[in-house]
Amino acid sequence: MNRGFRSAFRYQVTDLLKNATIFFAVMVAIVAALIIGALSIRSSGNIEIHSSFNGLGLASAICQFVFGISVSRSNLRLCTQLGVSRRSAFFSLLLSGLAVSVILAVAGEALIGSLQLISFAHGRLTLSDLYQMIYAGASSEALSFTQHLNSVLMITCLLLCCFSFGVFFTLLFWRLNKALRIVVAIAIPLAINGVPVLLYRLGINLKPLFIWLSSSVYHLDLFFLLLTLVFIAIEWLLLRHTNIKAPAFA
Amino acid sequence: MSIEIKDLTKVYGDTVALDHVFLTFGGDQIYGLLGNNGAGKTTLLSIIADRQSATEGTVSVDGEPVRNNDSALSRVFMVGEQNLFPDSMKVRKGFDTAQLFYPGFDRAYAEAAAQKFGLNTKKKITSLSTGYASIFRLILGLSVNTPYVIFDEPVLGLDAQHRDMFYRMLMERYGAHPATVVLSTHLIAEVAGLIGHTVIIRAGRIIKDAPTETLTAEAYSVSGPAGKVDEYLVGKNVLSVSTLGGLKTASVQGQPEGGLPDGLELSPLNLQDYFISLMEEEDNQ
Repeated sequence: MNRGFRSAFRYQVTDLLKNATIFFAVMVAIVAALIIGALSIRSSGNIEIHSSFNGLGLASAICQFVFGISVSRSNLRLCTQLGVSRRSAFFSLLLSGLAVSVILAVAGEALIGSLQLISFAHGRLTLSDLYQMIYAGASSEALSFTQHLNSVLMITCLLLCCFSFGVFFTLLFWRLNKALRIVVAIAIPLAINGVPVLLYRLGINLKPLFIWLSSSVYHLDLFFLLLTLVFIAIEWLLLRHTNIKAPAFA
Repeated sequence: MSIEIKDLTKVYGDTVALDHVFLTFGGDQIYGLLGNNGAGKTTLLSIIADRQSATEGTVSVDGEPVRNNDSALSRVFMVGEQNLFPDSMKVRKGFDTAQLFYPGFDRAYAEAAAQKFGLNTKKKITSLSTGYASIFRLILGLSVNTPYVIFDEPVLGLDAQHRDMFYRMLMERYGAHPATVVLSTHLIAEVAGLIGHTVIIRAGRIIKDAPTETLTAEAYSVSGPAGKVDEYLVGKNVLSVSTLGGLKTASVQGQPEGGLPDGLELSPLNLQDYFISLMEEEDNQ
């Protein structure tokens, strides 16, 4: 690992961690508010009030997608200004994205795991996350150590995939001219919503894929990693010859 | 130990921005890269700093190609016209970041220079005026201590006092830490005394690449009454002519020969006059 790569990684991971810390603090505040609310509201009569929270993994995924969109261009510009090759800048960005994905996944698992101890004792509050909902059952008791590890691995793969998807978006829009940007901005949501319908109309059933993905967490990990690799490959092709310049409004 | 540019070509659509350029920047000299608007100066410098890719040809720094090469790129610092720092970054944070990437970054010098220029280090880089944004980048260029520093339109938006300060500081820095410096500017008269070697680019081609003294010694200026000047110019290689009332001034390629008719005055050509004459000659061709 050369000096340029190390410096770029240090800068980018610090930058991403700062943003991730703010996001996580907000999520902790939301969960804390939910717990306080659930513990303070009394059930009245026959109506049993029950609260649940299981969106931390998904929220983290959206957050990583946004980070991928928002930080990549400015970090690549800065690295170019400071004598780091675009290859080192790009791969250090991805490594930073991976590091932050791991940290967010571990922190999220620790938060949900520890709060589950409170929720189990209380009974009117259910806290879980994606892995538990898909592979262990939302109503299951506390996860085993291996299940926690699998959950961390799954969320890490998901977050990395979302991060690289965000980077893909921003690099794609960087390369395109104004007219093509509009076309792509319309085409992507159309494709996301239209392709499944089209496949259904063509008689191509995606159900076996979903059954395969839900049959083992490792299948889902592999799926996210393959998607990530596809995004990375396209991103590198997009970035290789990009003219690195300041934003138009600067 | 040099930046070697070999057979460099850059094509945008049907526009040839650089046309088979061969150049060398080295020997701890100060180079002037001169050319009209759209001549290809910024494109050339951007390819050296790997901000753009070449269509053909190579750029190497101390024998290493710059393309995707951290080792080569870390030896070149480009002070460009554009701000590549993040929107939210403050000047002080900009110095911190430069220090992280360049171990030789002279932080004390940067702080002192900021104070000298009156640059507020607590302000966001993007909120600085055009002049102060240029000053921020100039200070980085003066503080990084890399073997090669490229200034592309360095004094953009700077007032006369700040321009003078920059030229002085550049020479002081150059004296203390010799480096190969490339100055690309339109303010030729201001930098003429600084640059030891001049490269003139036009329409993507290098038309002159020589020590500044050699270039200016290649031509001279003759002025006087129009009729007498016309007589004198017969058989001479005239670069450019300008007439004001009955007075005529001409730039002539070569050395003055023979006696000078009464009423005519000869003077050496300065770099800016030489550049203008050369461009006019090229226009005529």
